[in-house]
Amino acid sequence: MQSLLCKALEVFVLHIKGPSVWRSVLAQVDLPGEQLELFQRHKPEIINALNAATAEALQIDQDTLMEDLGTWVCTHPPLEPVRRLIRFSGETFEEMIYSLEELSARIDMAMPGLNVPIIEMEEDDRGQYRISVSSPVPGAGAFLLGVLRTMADDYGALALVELSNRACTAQGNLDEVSIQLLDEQFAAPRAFDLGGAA
Amino acid sequence: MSYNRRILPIATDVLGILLPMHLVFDHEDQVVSVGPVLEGLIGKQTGQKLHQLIGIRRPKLSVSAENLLAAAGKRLMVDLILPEADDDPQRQRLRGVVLPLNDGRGLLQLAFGTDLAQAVQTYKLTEADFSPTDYVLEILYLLEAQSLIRGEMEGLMDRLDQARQNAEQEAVTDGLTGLQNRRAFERTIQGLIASSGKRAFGVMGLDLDHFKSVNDTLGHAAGDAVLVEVGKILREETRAGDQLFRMGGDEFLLLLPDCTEPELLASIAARIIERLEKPIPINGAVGRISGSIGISMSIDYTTPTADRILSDADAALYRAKDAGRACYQFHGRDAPDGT
Repeated sequence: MQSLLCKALEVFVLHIKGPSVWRSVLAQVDLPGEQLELFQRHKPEIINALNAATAEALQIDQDTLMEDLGTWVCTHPPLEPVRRLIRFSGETFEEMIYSLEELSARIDMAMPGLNVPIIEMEEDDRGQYRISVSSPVPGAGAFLLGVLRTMADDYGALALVELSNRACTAQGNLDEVSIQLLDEQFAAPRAFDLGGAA
Repeated sequence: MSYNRRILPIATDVLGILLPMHLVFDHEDQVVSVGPVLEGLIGKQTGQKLHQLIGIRRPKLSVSAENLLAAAGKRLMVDLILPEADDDPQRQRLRGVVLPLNDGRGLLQLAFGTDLAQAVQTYKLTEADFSPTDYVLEILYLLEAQSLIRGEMEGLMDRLDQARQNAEQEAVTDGLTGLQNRRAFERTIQGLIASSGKRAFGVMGLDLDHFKSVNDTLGHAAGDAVLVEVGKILREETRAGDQLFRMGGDEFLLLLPDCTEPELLASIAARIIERLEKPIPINGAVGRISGSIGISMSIDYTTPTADRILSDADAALYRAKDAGRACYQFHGRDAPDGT
């Protein structure tokens, strides 16, 4: 999962700031070259180091960076495949929320061995959901926040999505995102062709 | 195949949700009803004869209610005949299975095969066109993810290949001058020795004259600039196939394949020395050098070895230096001009 996130961060920074900023971020964390490889095996601390260096280069805090990244990953043409893969998991926003618990299994089906953070979902009431994500790296909750807010739009749903809790325990980071689904059909969903990439 | 005889009443629209691509036929070969997605593909078709809508590719069967029911439970490869505007009907390949209904009619369940992704695109199918528990979404998702991964892999292989080539190139190149380095020389000389029976070659050893004093008076950066210029001169004054090596410091070796004429080597050596003696401008100052060259030729040996031909070129080089530098000497023969 690390290498996917690192690569997503790279595409993000390259797109909004250009290659020289990214090169200097890489140099700061002691990674050679101009670009990362998608399947590169990184040292465990690397995503943290990259986040910190990128946040500094962009002059924003790390949580904001993660949320922006989550948003960007679901909206921008270079990463359209990611948005499509998320759309496959549900026809409506609610179905997508229900399928979040299977996210790690879905990703594992396509690409085994990626160590995707565990996501659990509790439905408190119809339309009220709490998503908890536990991950060895901080920022997973903020990233998910960006993704879920954006996907709500993508599906045409009106929802209140907030980062409701963050904890750092011995087991790692445990973040909670809460969703209040107000209107599932608020607007027309963005187009999604099943056969789109064939 | 035996069937459980308990009968379930089921409405055709409910059946249409579970089996969106089915059709029901009667014992007179007529279509009784068609699932919603199949109807989307071929139209209503109630009352049509079966053989107008489908063909059975495998096993080889002519289409009739009797034949289909006899093959009940077997996997069939079915051709669906699609209506076309012109006289050229298209066929969609499908998988099928026939099951007998309890009233003597038959149900043919159809599904896409390995061209699922293509079919979804061609017929613009959506999630609603499949049973809610169908695996189609998982399959399409996997196909798409796999295609992304494969694309990434291909890019990766290209980048790895390029990186390997770059690394190999760097390993045999002198960084400063761009000429080849000692490592490359060791490889090249062996190849030339091995083929010297068929292809004669010449060896030139070049030491720069007065290089040390350029370094001492103008500094090492100036010395580097001079070396870069020497590399340029050597490239320009030799032929396309000639191999040029910086062996270290101010020592160079040239291997010249396809060379049987001492006149050729003499003229190249003379031109090199002439060019080296042109003052080299460096940041407002001027570097003045020359060169001493020792030459040996593979034709002068019955069985040349790398050690001998190199040490003989070296000995000739020393003679050139002894003779006052800024000149070339041949091993084992007089220079063509008599020097």
